Amino acid sequence: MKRQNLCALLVLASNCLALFLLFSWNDYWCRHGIYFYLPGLFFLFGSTRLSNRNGAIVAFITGLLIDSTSTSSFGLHAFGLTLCHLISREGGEGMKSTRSLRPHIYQQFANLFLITSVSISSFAQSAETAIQGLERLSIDIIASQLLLIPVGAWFLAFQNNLPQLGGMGSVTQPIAQ
Amino acid sequence: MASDKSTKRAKPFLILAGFLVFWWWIPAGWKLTTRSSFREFQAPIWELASRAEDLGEYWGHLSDSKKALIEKGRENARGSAALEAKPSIPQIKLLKSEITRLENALSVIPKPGFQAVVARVSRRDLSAWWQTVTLRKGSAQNLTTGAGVISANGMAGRIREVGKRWATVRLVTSPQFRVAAQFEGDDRPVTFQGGGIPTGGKPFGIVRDVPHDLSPSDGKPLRLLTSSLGGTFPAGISIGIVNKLEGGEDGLFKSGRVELDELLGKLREVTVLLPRNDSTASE
Repeated sequence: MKRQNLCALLVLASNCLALFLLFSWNDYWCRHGIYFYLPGLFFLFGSTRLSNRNGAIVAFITGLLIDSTSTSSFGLHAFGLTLCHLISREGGEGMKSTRSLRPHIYQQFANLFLITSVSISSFAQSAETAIQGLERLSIDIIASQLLLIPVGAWFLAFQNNLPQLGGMGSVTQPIAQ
Repeated sequence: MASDKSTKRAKPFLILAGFLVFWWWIPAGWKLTTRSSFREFQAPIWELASRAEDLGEYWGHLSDSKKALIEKGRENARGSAALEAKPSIPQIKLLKSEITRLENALSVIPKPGFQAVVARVSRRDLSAWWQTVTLRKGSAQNLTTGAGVISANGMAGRIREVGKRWATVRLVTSPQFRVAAQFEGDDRPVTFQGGGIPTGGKPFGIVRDVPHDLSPSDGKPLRLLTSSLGGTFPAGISIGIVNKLEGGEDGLFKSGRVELDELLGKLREVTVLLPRNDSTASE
C-alpha cells in the first residue's frame, strides 16, 4: 500500500477514535445539559499533511460518520468538512506548524461554521422551539468553542505523532505537493 | 498567467460544488442505505462500550459487603410491599379480570394491546440541536420505527431509526417530537411537543390546544398523560406536570410549559411498546 494511502487511513482511524472519545465525553456531560460539538477537529491535519484528494476523502468520510449519528441532513457534515479542508489548503505554510496560532483560528472558524449550518438545519425543522432553546444553544456553542482550544491543540499533536508510532517516520513535511 | 493560477485554485471548489449538485439528485433510498451502513459500522463499538460499562458496574457490586446486600434486599422488600399495599393495584386486577370475563361472554374482539421489549441504552446524544438515545436492540428483536418508548417514570420517546442490533429513539424532549395527550381526569385531546433540555438538565415540553376551562391551581398542578388516539402509546402513561397555562395565540385554546422527568437525561434502560398483532393478541 502506498505510504500516502496508509497515512490517510491512519488519519481516518484517529478521527474515528477521537469521535468515539468525544461521544463518550458527551454521554457523560449531556446529563448536566451541556453538549460539546467539535466537528472542527477533523479536517485540519488532513488538509495540511495529506494530498488534496486523500485529505478531502478523509474529511468527507469523517463527515458521513458524524452525519449518520445526528439528525441533521445526511451529507451536511461531509460537505461542510470537505469545504473547510479546501479552504484551509489555501492557508499557506503557517498552517503546518501545530504550535502556531493560524491553524487554531481556522479550527475555531470551521467549528463555528459547522455549528451555524447545523443550527440553521435544526431551525428549519422546528423554528418555534428552536427559539426557546436559544439559551441552551449559546451555552453549547461557547462550551464547544472553549473546549476546542485545548482539544484541537492536543489532537493535532497526537495526529502529528501517529505515523511515528507506526514506524513510518514523521510526516511534518507535506506528503504530496 | 494569473488567471491560470486562479482557475487552478478554484478547481477543487468547483468539483465540490458539482459533487454537491450530484449529491442533491441522488435518490433518498440510496442515501438512507449509506447512512444505515455507517450506523451499522459504529453500532458494535457502542454496544461493546455499553456492555463494558455494565460489566464494570457488575464487578463493582460483586465487592459489596454482606451488610450492604442485606440492606438493599430490605429496601427492595419494603418497595414491593408498599406497591402491593396500594389500594389501586388489587382494584386494577379485579377490573382486568372483569373485562376479560365480559369480553369472553359477549365474544368481543379484545382491543389490540402492546408487547413490551426491555432494552438497555448504549448511548445518549442530548444536544441543543437533537435529543436521541441509542438502544442495544434492533430489528433482530422486532423493534420497528415509530414504536413508543417508556421509562420507569413515564413516556420517554419514539423509535426513529432501526438497525439490525440497534435503534435510535427520538426523546420526548426533542422539539421534533409531537404526540396527542390528555390531562388526568379529562379525556379531551391536547397536543404535546418536546421543548429541550436547558443547561442544568431539567427537561421540558410544551402543551397546546388546552381547553379554556382547564387550569392548574396553586399547589395542585395538572398531570399530563398519554392518549390512545395516536396509537403509539396506551392511554394513561405520565408525560409530565403543568404548573401554568396561558392563553394561546388564537385565543381559543391555552398553552403551557410541561415539566418533564429529570431522569430523561440519564436513561439507562427503557421499554419499547410494540403493537401486538392478532396472532400474539390471541395468545
